[in-house]
Amino acid sequence: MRLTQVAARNLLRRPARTILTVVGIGIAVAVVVALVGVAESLESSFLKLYVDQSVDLVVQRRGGTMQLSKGLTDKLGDQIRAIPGVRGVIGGLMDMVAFEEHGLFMVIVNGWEPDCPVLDRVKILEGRRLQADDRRHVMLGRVLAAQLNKHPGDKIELYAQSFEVIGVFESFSIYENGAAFLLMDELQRQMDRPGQLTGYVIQVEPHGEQRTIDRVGHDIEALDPEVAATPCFDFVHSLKQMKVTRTMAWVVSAIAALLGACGMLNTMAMSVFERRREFGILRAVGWRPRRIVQLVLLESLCLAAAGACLGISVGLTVPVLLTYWPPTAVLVQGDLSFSGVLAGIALALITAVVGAVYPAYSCATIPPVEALRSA
Amino acid sequence: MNELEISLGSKAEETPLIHVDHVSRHYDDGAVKALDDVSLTVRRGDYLAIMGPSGSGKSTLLNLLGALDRPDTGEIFFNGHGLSRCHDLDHFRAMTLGFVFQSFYLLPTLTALENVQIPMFEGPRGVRQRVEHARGLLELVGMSHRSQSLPMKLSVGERQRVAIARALANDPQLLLADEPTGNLDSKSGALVLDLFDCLHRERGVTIVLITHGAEVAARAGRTVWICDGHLSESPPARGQSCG
Repeated sequence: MRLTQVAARNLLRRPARTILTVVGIGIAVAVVVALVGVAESLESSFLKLYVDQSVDLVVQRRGGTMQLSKGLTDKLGDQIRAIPGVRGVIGGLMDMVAFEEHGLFMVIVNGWEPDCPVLDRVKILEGRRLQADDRRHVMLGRVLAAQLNKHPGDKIELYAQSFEVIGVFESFSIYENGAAFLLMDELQRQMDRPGQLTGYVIQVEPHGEQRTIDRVGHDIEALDPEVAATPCFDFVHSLKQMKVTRTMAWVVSAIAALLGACGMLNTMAMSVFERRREFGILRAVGWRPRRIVQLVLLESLCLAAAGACLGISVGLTVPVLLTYWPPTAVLVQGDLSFSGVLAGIALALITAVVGAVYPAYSCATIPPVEALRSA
Repeated sequence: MNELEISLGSKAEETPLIHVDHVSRHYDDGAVKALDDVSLTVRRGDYLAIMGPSGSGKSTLLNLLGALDRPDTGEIFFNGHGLSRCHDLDHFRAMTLGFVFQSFYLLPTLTALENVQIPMFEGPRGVRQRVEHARGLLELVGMSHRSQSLPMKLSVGERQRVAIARALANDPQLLLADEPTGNLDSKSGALVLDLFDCLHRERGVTIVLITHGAEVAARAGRTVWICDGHLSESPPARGQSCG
């Protein structure tokens, strides 16, 4: 017989309590895994949008708390194109609209020039891409088209105007799959922002070379002191929405950890108190306090491990399920989040140790005679 | 002062297994004198019964002999070494002593075979050796057929036999038994005492046993009486109270 078997038998003595504790830890771990996973997924999805297009820099107006609230002129694009080392410049205008009757809020609307590479990059599933002379025409991402149940030829209402769906596309980006594309001048007209863009994405030559990125960024910012040229990773990481999401995820995780530790402490304290005399017997037959601490910690770790398995399974399933829920389908990719899993494992370990240390110490240090006297 | 020399067939020059030297143990800041200046010697191979009424100090003495408690004054020597200077009493208990309790104190979640292995965790035996040794001990106490039973499935007599097997797990030099037949019917009690006789006679195990019953004490080679914390070589006179 091994110590693990002794621990397992003790846990199986009160199966209901053991199951409830495991479920409690599992919920805490699931919350952490899911929230950290979703926060990470949001960021990675957004980053993917830039990285997969070999974007090196994102150019936006400096100081805007919301990226949509301030704009750049379309002339800036030509100036950036003239900077040595710049391979590609894509300007875009972005807005957000709601289709309330479909329960869709914050749907992205992008405005692109007719020759924009983005319109060529996406795969047309139905209909065709936007052309230069299209007016009141819109392309819908695959997910958005499905959510609105629209196909080419159907009408949708945008900015209180009727737009005809000209095509349905699929992109590598979940954001674009949930977005609507208009021609740039159409969107500028609807937003009443003629000659304005939300920002530019810049590709440099050679792609990814830090020195060139830094120099081009410096040259772009020299064109207009109110313009910020930010490497795409830094840009995504610094987005206010990402920061808020990350902070929320970690705050809720910390609360979950605290609750998990309290639950574990309660369970282990109850379990140890009930077995006071048994610990006295173990001490009487020569078990050292260290071995009793090991036994209690082992029981706690078994509970935590079972809770972690349950929580990680649930926590990884939730983001996948969110990809099928319309309001979140265009935000969450449902990827495996390693940092979420690591955070969940860390939480389980912390609850195991925090929850077991005091009960283990108290039962290991009790004099055997006193423990044996316990009823 | 009570000075008792109990030496059953042992050589006088041999170091006694246990020597209790003027030991006192008080509770409640000295208000309760559980043991008062008690001395006692037990030699290897002795079979000693300690008799006395409830509250007389029997269990306190047994706890001190078993290194479960420490005396307020005096010293207990084991093989000539003072226990107060022993830094690892846990190891001492595990490897030198075997305990048999009145209420058996088997762990309820473990089978008989597993209960017997519990003291061996502190010994040198590996996992397989523990199992084999525990099987042998259960066979010795006539319980091999119930090795996979949980304590609650065993009769009280069977539980006590398993507890005796557990007490022998690390081949102790001294077996301490606290009212081992106190919770048993007469038939089971007799079986347990037969087992003690056998262990003493055939294995030379030194036994110190606490009991209320004269018939139990009669099995031992020598009996001492304890009353109000004082040890006596002779029984209290008829009608004499401990006070």
